[in-house]
Amino acid sequence: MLRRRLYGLLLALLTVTPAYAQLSIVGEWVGRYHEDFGDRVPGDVQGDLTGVPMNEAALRYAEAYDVRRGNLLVHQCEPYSLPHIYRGPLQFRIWEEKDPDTQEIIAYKEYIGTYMQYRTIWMDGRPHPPEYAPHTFMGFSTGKWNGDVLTVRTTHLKKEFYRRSGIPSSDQTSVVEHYIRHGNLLSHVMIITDPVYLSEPFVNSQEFVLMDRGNQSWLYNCEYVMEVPMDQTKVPHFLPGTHPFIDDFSKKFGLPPAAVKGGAESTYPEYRTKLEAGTPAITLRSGPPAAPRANEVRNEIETVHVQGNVYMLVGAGANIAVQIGEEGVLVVDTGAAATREKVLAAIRKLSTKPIRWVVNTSADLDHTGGNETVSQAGETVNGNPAAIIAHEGVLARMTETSRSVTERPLNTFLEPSRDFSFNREAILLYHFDGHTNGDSIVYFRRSDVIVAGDIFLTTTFPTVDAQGGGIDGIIEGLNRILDIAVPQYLQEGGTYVIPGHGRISDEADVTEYRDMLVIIRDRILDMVKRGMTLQQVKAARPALEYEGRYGTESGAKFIEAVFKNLGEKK
Amino acid sequence: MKLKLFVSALAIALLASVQASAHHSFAAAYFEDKTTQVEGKLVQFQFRNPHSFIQLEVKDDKGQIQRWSIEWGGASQLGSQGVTSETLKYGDIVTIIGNPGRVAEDRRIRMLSLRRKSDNFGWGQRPGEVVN
Repeated sequence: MLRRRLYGLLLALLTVTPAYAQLSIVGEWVGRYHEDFGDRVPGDVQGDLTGVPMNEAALRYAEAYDVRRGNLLVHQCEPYSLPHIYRGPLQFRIWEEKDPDTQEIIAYKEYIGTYMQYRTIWMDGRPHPPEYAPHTFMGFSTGKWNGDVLTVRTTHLKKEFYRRSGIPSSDQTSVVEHYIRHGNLLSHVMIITDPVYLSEPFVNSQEFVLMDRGNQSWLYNCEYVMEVPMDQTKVPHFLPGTHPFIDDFSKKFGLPPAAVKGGAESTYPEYRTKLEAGTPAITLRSGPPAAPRANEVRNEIETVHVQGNVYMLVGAGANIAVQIGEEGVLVVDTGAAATREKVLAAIRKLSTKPIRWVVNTSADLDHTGGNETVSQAGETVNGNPAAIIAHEGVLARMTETSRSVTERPLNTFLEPSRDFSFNREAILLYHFDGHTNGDSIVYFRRSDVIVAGDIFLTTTFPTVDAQGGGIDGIIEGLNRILDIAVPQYLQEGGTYVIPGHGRISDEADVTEYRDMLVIIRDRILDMVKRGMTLQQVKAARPALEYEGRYGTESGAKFIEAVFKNLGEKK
Repeated sequence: MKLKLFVSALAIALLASVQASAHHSFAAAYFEDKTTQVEGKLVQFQFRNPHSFIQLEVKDDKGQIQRWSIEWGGASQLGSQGVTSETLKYGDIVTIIGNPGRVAEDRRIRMLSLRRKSDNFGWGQRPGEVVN
């Protein structure tokens, strides 16, 4: 009888308790700042570069970094990115999103009080997005429980910082996190890998306490204001060797500069012996070469919806934008000649309406190789092949290089801008003597998408054409994009930008690229003014901290082109 | 009970101050070991996060009007000290003491204290009236 009762009790327990109950991490958590308070909360004087396994490129970046850059309108509302935010001041809330039918967890959601950021950790096994998808400050995260440890992998992050003093993180960063709960404490461990700025994984951990009593400190939005009146096209930075405050931290705490700037080596206990033996030299490792560029001419053309009526075609060499609607199809750039039939097929899959317009952002072969095929397959309202529009510099270049008449733009413009309406959308073209003397950017106003052409790339430094291109024109074009683009929230989303090559971007990505070009331009200009030769300029490596991201070879060509360009102006 | 309430209030105050620091380090942007004083007409008060800003028109030695940018705490932190978006108004003549910015031509100050001439309203003299 007793045995029967026990079985009954066991059965009842099993019906209310699953076979394996997952630990819950749901709740409101607040940071404990007993470790690294100075760094994590108030921040210290400039020059704190300790404790991060930064490489040579990161040090160069930090030595040029002027904190006043954060006062620029395009920077002031940038939040901390994922690898940084948990080391900053924050409280956050976690909740679960469950499948209503199975009650399985689809995702963990986080709301982070600092800057009011949202984050999703997908638990349903979905893959990470392709490489051409936009990056965000929180990235794209997928998670998996391993016993009682939730392990999360994040990619698609934006460039930001590991420390406010200027140690940069790159958009190639990936993060593995472990969430480990012990009663009302949550241990959060991050293993950060960044081939551009770290010489080895950056591991850190922080503790959070479950708040058993709520508070109202959850609202912390950012409003754009002119904090300090300044020219928004000038990027505050220090020329190499001129940062006046870079050693302030080392002086304040009596630390040898070599220890402060020692990178990975200085984070290990053995470094103490080295310090005791004398002042060690700074021997930061160089970063690895930039990841090889994916083959941009592919067997298959992929189609990505950007937003509104605009799509991006990937795999045809340069990126192609396609706008579709009731009136027909407009195509911006047509890719390499080798892919022209596939491009046409991809456009036809998007819309069977007539192709009315083709716009060229430059005359480059990888942007215009499909002009003839796409134009001839379309027709204007009066029965001609689809009209090709471009700045007259494109026609001049195509004529000089004997491109066939059917490839050339016949509807050219010479004024700084041109606009027209198509598919009930305003389309604005802005011309710059950018990477060539025929560059245009194209703005789809209702869809809120800008096609940048080759003045903005996420793969390499820009090329500066010897015949009419110019670094100042490229920067002017990027500044125009920044004028037009409006982020949806916290420098993210809103206006999307299709680069000439690479992934879909937004204002924050263009800002980083603009900043980089201004900084390198200013450095080379300073060297030109000081009478340095090209060999001396190259040896000084004015693009060192960006080469791991955009390529050493591409950097060398860019430096040479800018040197010649600025030298001519001198 | 009283202790519990005190601890909760302290925690909230700490959180408010913690959030106010998320933008940049004051020590990085200003000389915290120096102070300077300016008096002028308030032409803008941006009560906002991450940090509030006051724009002040100040006459220099030559009688020329120069604009100074005064950085204050975030709205979250100042709000917990009783400061609101209505506290200061266009045209207020104020004297401000604070840390000077690290680049002199920026003409910026991190606010340590403020005094309004018309009614002697002040901030920065009472305990707790700090930003970090």
